[in-house]
Amino acid sequence: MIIRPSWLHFRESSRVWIEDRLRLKPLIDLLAKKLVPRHKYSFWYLFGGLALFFFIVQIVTGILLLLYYSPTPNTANESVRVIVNQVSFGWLVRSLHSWSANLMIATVILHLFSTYFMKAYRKPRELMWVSGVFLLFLVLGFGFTGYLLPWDTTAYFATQIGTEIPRSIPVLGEFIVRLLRGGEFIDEESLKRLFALHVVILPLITLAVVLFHLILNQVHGTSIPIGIRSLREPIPFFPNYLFRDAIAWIAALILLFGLCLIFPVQIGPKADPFASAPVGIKPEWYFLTLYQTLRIVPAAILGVNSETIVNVCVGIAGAFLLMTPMIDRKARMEQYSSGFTWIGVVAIFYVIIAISLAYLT
Amino acid sequence: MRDTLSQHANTFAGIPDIGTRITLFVVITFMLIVTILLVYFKMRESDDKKGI
Ligand code: HEM
Repeated sequence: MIIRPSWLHFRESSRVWIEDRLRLKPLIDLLAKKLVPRHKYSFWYLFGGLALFFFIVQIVTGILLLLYYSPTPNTANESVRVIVNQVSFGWLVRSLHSWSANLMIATVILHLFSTYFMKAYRKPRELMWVSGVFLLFLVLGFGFTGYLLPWDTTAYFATQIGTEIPRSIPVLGEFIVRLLRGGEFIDEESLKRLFALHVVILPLITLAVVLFHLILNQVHGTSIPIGIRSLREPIPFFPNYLFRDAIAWIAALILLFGLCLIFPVQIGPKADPFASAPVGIKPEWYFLTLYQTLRIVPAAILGVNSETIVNVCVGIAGAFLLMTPMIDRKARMEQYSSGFTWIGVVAIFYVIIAISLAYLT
Repeated sequence: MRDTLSQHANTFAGIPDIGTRITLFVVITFMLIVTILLVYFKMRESDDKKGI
């Protein structure tokens, strides 16, 4: 007779108990059915999962920050100081939230470019791409709305400038500025609005879009780039690929803790709306491309002011991004579209040069 | 008594010095690397089962 150790018995009986109640088997079978191809670019398939990981870190640390944060001009800066100085590990939670936000945006951008170059947007994954572009706008929205919350001098004046940009959008500009600010200037009303966007409206929308994105990924499986012959057997997502995702997530956690512990996030002095704006304030790195573009376009071209021109260009670029799967007709027919690859390469160079120039000048 | 306690809290709270932070980083990294190894062996085990 074989005597089984009691912990094995316990493990098995717990598994049966859970299965009897939750009936997870069909879900697990479904996840196991999804296959992840293996080829020389497979590494890039990790990035969607990494973006999801940082998003989860944002939700958890965001909820913890909410326990102490207080969104009024009189208390916001102080409450963040309390988090950093008084609450146990508050400084760590705040650093995690801030660094993970940056890493999330960076990962989403890498994921966008990798799926762009692999032309993963081609039929039948057009809506994965479109929902992805919305996710990019949403994560940038998180960055923008979260920036003002500590109510420090830089945040205050940077948001004042940032919320001014939409004003020159034809027809809707004025309305958007007032909608964001809740009035003419950045004040209590603006803080309330950006806070509501940051902690309720954007998270709810993002959760829904992420869910849609993930369900589509499950339905269509992962794409194989055009012209790539996958010589090796694909990997079932559950449990085999999930282990690879898990390893990437833990490695990301090491990076995240490294950044937080070596460069913990500081807090600036409380904003004084009546003071004059400090010179040389720059937005976060992910808005520097836009910032630098605004700086290099001449003040007016043929009588149209530069902000209107840049806003229209951003609109066109956004529309191009959204419509890529529909415009790239070659990829739709499973032919390699080198024109689109070149557009991507030029975009990367432009972003890198603009960010470097913004830092250097 | 209350005063000294709150003074204490003020002195010791806040962002710890770089030495403490690096120690924390080493401990966390060590634990996470051990976790990665455990997950890696689990991955190999399930790959072997499927002949990957
Ligand atoms: C919060 C943001 C996002 C999350 C959490 C997310 C998550 C994921 C996950 C987990 C996958 C499957 C694994 C993979 O192939 O990487 C995936 C695939 C995909 N994502 Fe995203 N994503 C996000 C943003 C984006 C963006 C900005 C785009 C592009 C505009 C995008 C386009 C795609 C496409 C086309 C695929 C299919 C890849 C393939 O089948 O080869 N996603 N996403």
